[in-house]
Amino acid sequence: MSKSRKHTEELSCGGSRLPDRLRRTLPALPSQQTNVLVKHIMRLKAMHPEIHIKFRDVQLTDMDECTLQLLLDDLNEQLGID
Amino acid sequence: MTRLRANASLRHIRSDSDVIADFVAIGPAVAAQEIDLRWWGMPPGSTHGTGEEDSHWVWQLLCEYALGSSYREATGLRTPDGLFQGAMIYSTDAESVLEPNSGAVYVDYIATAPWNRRGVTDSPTYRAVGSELLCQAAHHSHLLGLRGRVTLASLPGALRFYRERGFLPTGDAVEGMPLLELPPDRSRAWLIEKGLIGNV
Repeated sequence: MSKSRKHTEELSCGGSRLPDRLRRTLPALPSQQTNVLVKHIMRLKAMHPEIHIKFRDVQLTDMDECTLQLLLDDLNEQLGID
Repeated sequence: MTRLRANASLRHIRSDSDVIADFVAIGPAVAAQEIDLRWWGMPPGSTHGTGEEDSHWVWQLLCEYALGSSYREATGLRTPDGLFQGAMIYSTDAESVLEPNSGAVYVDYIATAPWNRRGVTDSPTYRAVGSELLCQAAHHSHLLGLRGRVTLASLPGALRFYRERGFLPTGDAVEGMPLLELPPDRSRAWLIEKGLIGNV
């Protein structure tokens, strides 16, 4: 897709619920998690069980924002997320 | 940018200027008041009126559905006047159709406000609402290590919109609607173009 492409169409609406046959089997996560960073890291851990987790013995919810960001930076590096 | 962006620029058509709209997480109560009542100007669930394919959708219920899984999100784009210009429910625990055994984000529901649609009004207010919502789903997919894959079921009238943004047919369908998927290379190109990831 080039930078100069012209999108002519606008979207009104669309969709249908994710069918079970297309749903991955992932572990349930705490549903009341309100910290966006904690929720994001929990999802990354669930989706990529192969990644190495620093501070494994510390609860995510006990970490301050700075430590959470360090942990996320490390996970992103392992997963090649820029 | 290692986090989802907080806002996006929408084009206000009449003034030919950009307006910054915030991405806002939507709960059932907000959906009931700010989308169901305002978008169609009628009680939620009413089937009167416009003939638009989503005019019977009850966003309050869709947001309750979103709350049912820790892998789902309900988000909307809200302009400074407090109005939601579009909304989307998506799941981050989907399976890619084009690349089995890989993850993808799946867009369950997406819609723009009626006043932004050419099929509803001769002079829509904003453009790019659907595109910005969809781009947010692609960015979330990227940030979750799903390589930007986005899957969705397209209504016939929206096929061209999705194809223009790089979605490919998968040969699969959901409830008679063709399943499309945005593959990693096309998603990456879009996110680079939007300045959401670097070109390395």
